[in-house]
Amino acid sequence: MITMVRGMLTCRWAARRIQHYLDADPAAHLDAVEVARLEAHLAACARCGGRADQYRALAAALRSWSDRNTPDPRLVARMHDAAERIVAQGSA
Amino acid sequence: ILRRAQLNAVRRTRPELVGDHADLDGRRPAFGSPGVVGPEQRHTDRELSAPLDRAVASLGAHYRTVLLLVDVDQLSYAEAAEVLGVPVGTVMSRLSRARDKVRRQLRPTEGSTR
Repeated sequence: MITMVRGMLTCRWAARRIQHYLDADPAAHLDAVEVARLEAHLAACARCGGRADQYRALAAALRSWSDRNTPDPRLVARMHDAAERIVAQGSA
Repeated sequence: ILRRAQLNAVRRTRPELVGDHADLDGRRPAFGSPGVVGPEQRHTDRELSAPLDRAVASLGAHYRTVLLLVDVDQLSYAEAAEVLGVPVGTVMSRLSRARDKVRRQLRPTEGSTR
């Protein structure tokens, strides 16, 4: 019973940190001890390790999302024109 | 879209600013360095793309914006916070919730807990 509860607490602990670990963003730093503990848990726990894989796949798919969702080039051209007009007004 | 065009100047993976916008003519916006995408990842991307687009579109505006700024435009948490005018903690919680919503939509057969 205790082992099961302890395992659940570790998954909870890990779940809160998986995204920060994968992002490696300076605003959400994990120290070396946390990283080691998290990596050990991800290697040992199928659910948490699987969840980390899902986040990685999602991040990779989103990185190329804009390749499939580019704005209308005519809209972009109109925006360039508008930006140039704004810049011209600013320097007038 | 205009915001994203502005954000090209502050993206952390883009070391040079665009001096003359005329240089941009005919160029596709460069969101993220493509690097080398292996065949497995390309397959995953194709498999995911339509459901992913639907999942992203179904997010509330606050969640979708943060997700696009960080995971598509590759802004850091702090940069996204500055752009949105919200605390970094807000970015982190919205981002986490957005990713979880999308992840669960794409994997409905996962276990019951978050």
